[in-house]
Amino acid sequence: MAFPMQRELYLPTVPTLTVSSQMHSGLSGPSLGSHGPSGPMAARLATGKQAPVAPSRFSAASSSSAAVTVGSGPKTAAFSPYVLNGGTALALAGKDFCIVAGDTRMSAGYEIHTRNKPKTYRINDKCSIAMAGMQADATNLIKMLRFRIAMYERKMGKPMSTQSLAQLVSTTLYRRRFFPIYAFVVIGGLDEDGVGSVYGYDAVGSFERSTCCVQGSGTSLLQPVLDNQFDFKNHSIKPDELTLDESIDLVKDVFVSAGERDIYTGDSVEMHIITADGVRVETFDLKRD
Amino acid sequence: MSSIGTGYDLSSTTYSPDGRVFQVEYASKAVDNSGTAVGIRVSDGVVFGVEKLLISPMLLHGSNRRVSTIGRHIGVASSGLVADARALINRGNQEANAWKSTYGEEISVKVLTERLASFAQVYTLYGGVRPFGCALLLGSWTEAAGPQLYMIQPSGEAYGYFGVAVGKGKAACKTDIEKLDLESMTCEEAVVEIAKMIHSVHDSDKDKEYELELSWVCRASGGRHQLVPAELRDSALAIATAESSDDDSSSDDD
Amino acid sequence: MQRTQQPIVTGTSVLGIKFDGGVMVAADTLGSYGSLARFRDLRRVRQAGEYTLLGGSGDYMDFEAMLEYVDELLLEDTTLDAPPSYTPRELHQYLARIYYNKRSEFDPLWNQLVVGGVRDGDVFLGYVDLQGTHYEDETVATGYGSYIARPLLREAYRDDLTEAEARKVLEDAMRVLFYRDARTINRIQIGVATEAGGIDISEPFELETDWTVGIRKH
Repeated sequence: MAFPMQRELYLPTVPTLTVSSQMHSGLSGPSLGSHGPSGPMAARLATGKQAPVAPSRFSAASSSSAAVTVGSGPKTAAFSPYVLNGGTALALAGKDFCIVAGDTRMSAGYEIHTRNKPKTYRINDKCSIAMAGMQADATNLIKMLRFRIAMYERKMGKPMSTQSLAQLVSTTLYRRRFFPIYAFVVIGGLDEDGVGSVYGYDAVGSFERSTCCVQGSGTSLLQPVLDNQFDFKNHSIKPDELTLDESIDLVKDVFVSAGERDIYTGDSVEMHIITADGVRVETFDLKRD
Repeated sequence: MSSIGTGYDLSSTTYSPDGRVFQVEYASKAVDNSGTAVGIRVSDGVVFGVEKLLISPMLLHGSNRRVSTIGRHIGVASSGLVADARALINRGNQEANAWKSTYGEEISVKVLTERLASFAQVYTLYGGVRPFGCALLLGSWTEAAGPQLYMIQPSGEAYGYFGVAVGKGKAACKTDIEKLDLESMTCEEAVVEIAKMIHSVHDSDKDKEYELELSWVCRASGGRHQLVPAELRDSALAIATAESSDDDSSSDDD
Repeated sequence: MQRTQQPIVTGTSVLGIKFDGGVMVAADTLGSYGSLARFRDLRRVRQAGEYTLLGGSGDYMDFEAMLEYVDELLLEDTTLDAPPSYTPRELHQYLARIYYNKRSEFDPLWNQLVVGGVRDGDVFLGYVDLQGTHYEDETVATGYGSYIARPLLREAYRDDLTEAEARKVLEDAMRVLFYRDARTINRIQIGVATEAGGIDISEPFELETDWTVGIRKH
């Protein structure tokens, strides 16, 4: 695997007590943390604390250590095109079903932008996509995908299969290898045989098929739990595979748990339940704290 | 026509021996053959009226308009080849946008007229292009400058007017306009006068049905070019129709 | 090419809240030059088209540039007899696309915008920022307002809030911001959008303040 896995990229940033300059710096003048003479340059003193751990060269531009000295003037925190809006998305694949779910909280730093922005997108009767990461990039990505999916359907006269979509997402992400789309995608759907399938990606398009994948700020909390409780990894005696209803309950449980420990996960969850009958959408509430 | 067969009318690059450019004159013919368009400048604004001849009874009402807007503040009534007019109006919108982005204020109708006239004139010079087969009436109203009205011809000539008419019924309309007291008249009164004029010059025997387009740019519209409100338009049209039938019946009595 | 890498003249918070039948947007009129209170009459609540309120914080020139983009869009609509075509919801999406594309060119418009308006019974309030982030919600706040005022707005919001109640909520929140945010001035405008009344943006006015709370008695 030539590319860093998304989980490495997704080390949660530790919020500091400084009010994030990304949030307000230029917008309301100099940062809280700036000292000394102010003036038109004062705003430049702002140092980004809420740096998303963005891929490669851009992480420098937005991290707190990125301030560069221009001549003898004050330090400049350059514009960062990336923000991390948090949130958790996941997908589970059963024998004849798939569940795609994401919470609806959208944050930036300590601020909750909105409590109702779903991360799940229905593609067709056989699959849905969920995305965490940067909302603007994710929205743009889904627009690009929707366009290419529509073109495919017009040309081929049939809906796109989950496998084809999986490859399309990868190439779409990789096209932006050197200005990555800061979105972490998971696809859930049924394959050509009607078996549940899940594909998980990193920001630049590396992907693999699995039966359960978590993306976003809750990854480190939920992925090991699901590995154990859905895939029964490390169990010497494998219990029976979870049924659809048991899987739905598990999804609810893990989201409630993520909501307890991860400040970026909460408010509510939108869940797409995909079976041979199509996609059913369910929502349930999480704590809003 | 004396021009035909002499060879001087094939291109606007060559004058005739008596100093005329026939292609430009033919373009003016296209204007003379079109439905009448009238613009008058009164105390509180400029009112336009157009006799839009309907080429088919199947046309959607309000389609293919012959009054249009440049920016938001300049009204345009066109006559002649409407497609040519639209090209000129598009150019006018570009000029208006460029002016606004440079100077931060709306272009004046005078400057716009000069620029469009210069643009049209270029099409009277070269081989391979054809003069615009249209005339445009342009009007605006601002608090500072009051009402202003201009007309651009296919030749690239442009003049300011108190009242102007082009198209089939221009002679009769001009006579009618000259009788009006424009200085004291209001736009609402002018709407009725224009409706009467256009209705009277419309030749219902020779020509097809027509749709009366009425628009204004005035104090009441806040200097914006708008269609005359439907109520006022309908009542003006009703007055115009009633008067003409009165005329008919009185002539019958004689 | 020189691009906006930091804001110069800046406006601070903009607040927005929905009420029963409309939306309301508030901002003060200060243009700051760093910590200098440089311009005292910059109007940051504006109208776009017939139905939409736009409030902007961040770089004031970028805000004006954005208004020109919107105006160019609206000018393309030359129909004489149909009402203007763009709804507040459509303009919000349009602005989100502009801001996202600009950020993708590393030439951002350095603003956080509040977009509000009513059209055909659809009461809309949304947010757009310099990274292209966008969403709609019942309440919106930018700058320090997102920390200080947004919780107040969320607490006060009900879907049957009256216009008068909404005005009080915004005025109270603006007063708190004036007390706490050093980049404010006590000279604010409130814009209201309703189906019946269209857009109405007030002239700047002052809020009553009481500083006795800050005077220490010995």
